[in-house]
Order: sequence, then C-alpha cells, then structure tokens
Amino acid sequence: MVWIGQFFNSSLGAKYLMALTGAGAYLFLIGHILGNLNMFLGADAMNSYALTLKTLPFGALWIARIGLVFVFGIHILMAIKLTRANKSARPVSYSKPSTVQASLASRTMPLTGLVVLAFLIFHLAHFTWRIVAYDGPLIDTSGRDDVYTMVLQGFQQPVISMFYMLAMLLVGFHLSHGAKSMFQTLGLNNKKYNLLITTAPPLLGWVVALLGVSIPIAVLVGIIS
Amino acid sequence: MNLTLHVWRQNGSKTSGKLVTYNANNVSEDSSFLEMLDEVNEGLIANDEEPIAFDHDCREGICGSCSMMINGVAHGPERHTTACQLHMRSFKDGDEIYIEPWRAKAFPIIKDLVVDRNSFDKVIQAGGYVSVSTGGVPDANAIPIGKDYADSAMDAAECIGCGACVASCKNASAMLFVAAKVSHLALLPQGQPERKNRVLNMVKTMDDAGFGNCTNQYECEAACPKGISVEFIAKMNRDFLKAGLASKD
Repeated sequence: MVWIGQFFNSSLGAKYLMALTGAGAYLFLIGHILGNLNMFLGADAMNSYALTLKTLPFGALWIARIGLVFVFGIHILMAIKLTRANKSARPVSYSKPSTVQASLASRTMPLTGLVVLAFLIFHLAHFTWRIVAYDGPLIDTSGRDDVYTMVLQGFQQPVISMFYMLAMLLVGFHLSHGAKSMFQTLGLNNKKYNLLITTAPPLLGWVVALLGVSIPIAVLVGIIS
Repeated sequence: MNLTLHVWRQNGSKTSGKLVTYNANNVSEDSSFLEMLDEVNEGLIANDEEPIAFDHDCREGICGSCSMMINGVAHGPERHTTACQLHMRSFKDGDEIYIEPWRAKAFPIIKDLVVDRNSFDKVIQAGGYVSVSTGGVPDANAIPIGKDYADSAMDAAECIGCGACVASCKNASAMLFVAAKVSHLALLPQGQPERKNRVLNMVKTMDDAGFGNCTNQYECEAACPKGISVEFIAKMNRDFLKAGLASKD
C-alpha cells in the first residue's frame, strides 16, 4: 500500500486531489446556494428546509458534514503543499516580471482561496456554531429552529452582509479558474468539448456566486424582511 | 537605433548578481538579438571588461541553447521565436530592455545569463527513450502508424528543451517539457512497452529536481518557441493516472 502514499505525494497526485476536492466543493456550493434560495420563499419554506436537512435519515447530515471536512481539508492541505513547492521552485524572482496570457484569477488562486477560507470559518461560526453575531436561540411559531430569522438578523447588519457579498464574489472569481482548471488536471482536454468545459463550469460558478450575493442584497434592500 | 539594456550580471552560482545598465548604440534593425549582444560584448572587450555570458549554438532556432528573459518574456516578445531568431526590428529606438536568465531552483545560474539545465537531461535519462535491441535497420513503414498519431507525436517531438516553459511558468514548473517528452513516445507503437514506467519515472525525476507544479495558467504554451500545446500536459496527466493505478510496482 506504500504506492498510494507515493502516488498522491507526487506533484501530479497532489494535483488530482486538488482537482477532485475542488470539484466536490464546487458541487456542494451549487447545492448549498440553491437550498438557501428558500430564503426568498419565506420563513416557513426556509425553516422546513433546514429541519428536513437536520432530520435526514441514516445520519446523512453528519455523513455529509464529515465528507465536507475531508473535501475542504484535503483541498487546503494540497494547496499548502503545492503552493510551498511552487514558491520554493523560484527562489529569486524576476526584476521585470511579465504575463502573456495567464488570467488574474489563475495567478491569485492561493490568495482568493485564503480569503474564502477565512470567510468559511466566519460563516460556520456565524450560522452553524452560532458563536458570533448570533442573538438566539430563535424558535418559530411551529417550534422549529428559526433559521430564517437568524439569517435575516445576520444580513441586516451591513458590515456582515458586505463581507458575505465580497466573499461570494471571490468564490466566483476563484471558480472562474478552478472550475475549468480541474478538467485539465484530470486529463480532460479535447477539442471536441474544450469550449464546453472551459466556459460552462466557470459561468455556472459565477451564476451560483451571484445567487449567493443576492440573498444579503435582498435583505439589505428589504425584499426579504 | 539606440537602446538601454539592463542585463543580469552574476559571476557564479555562489555569488549574488545584479542588473547592470549598458547602452547599445547604432543597432541595426536587421541584426538578431544575439548579434546585438555580440556587439555590446565587443565594446566591453575593447574596454577590458568581462563580456556578458549567454548560451547560444545553432542560431537557427532549433538547438534550444539560447535562453533569456527579455522584458520578462521568455525569448522575447515574438511568439514561436527563439531569442536567436528574434530580430531588432521587434524593438524601437529608445527602448529599455531588461535581460535576465531563466529563474528556477532547478536551473542554477552558471554565469550571467547562462543557466545549468542538467535537470532536463536527468528527466530524459529517466525515460525519454525506447529500449530496442540493435540489429539490422528495420524497413521504413514496417510498422503502420496512423497519420493523426504521427502528426501529434511530431508536434510533441518539436520540443527543443530550451526551458522557456519553466522560465515563463509562474511556478517554475517543467510540466510542458516533461509532457512533450512523455507524449511523443507514448503516441508511437515503439513507445508502448515502456509507456507506464516512462511517465512514472520521468515525473518522479521532475519532482525530485525541484520544479514547481502546473496551475494551468498556460504561460508555458505562450512562451514555447515551438508552440507545444498544453494538450500534452493533459495527456501526461491521463497517462500518469493510468500508470499509477495500473503499473505492477
């Protein structure tokens, strides 16, 4: 079994893990944002959606949570490993650096990733662990956990809303490179479908990110109240 | 035309270097970039100064010796062009030109613009060949090879090993070079028996040499004087995955 460690410790092995976990996080984001659009349907829809997630059979919520810890954990570990190797591969930088075709997003992946990670920790502390900016416990008239009011109260604070919006835009930016880069890393590069895989996944990433931005905006302007 | 050059001068791998400014006057736009440097060197020699060291050999764009970053771009501003085939008509009077060596841990500087590219040779030694028993010369076309495969193998085999991909990569990754060397044999029947071990060994040697990792920014493809496509990197990624899962050891 030594080969597994050697395989994933290689540059390409680490890149496969980066791409696969990136794809996992991307798919999770799509589901997570789509579910949260229940905020637009009102308190009943949002709270019943939250209750459904919490009461999924076979402990599915916890299985998903553990899965996500692995997905994000491996993505972060591989990012550290690969970025460190990349930095050490060029100890002396160019006096006059220049870029021909690399996109800004592709060149700032470690930075945008780091900001998104900081946001992720805040987001968990805010809405999952509920240890910052949470004024609860909140229970709705049916006796359910009142997630709707929690999100509403959270996003009514402009500073928090702005941070969420900025983070979602950075997620869209991060995905504008990541969501197409993962195909190349996994060896999927073919003229037949290159146009599709280099445009559709980043575009969907932007759509999902903007849907994420729409929730705090809707709260701030009073569409959700 | 008259130019101001900022050239990296460094005595050896152990010493530190710095950019030194020189004036190149009355440069003909018909001269090549290396001829322009030759003229600057003649001036330096006449003044009893040490000439600028740079690699060159064929000066026909096929040997892969010339290697310099010109204003931050490997081999200079013209696409699909080596520094020796770059002509001064690509610049204009009064330009300031920064000339630096390839910068990578795996390419230590020997002197000025000359770097040690032995790490590329080590990658080739790890599998960039086919082992064949020698004997009589086989008949031409004895082994049928589809034109698509032959063309693609030739596209990969165009790599001259200059190192522009490493130099231009933001991560000093050698994956375009290694992918080209892995692919041109993987596309041919003669390369099949050693295909799995070839990609595993060449990637391992690349990793051990201290190159960075590809982040799919494709600066290498833009800098490659032979226009090697990043499709070959995807092909290497596929081959390594298959070999990693299917090789016997």
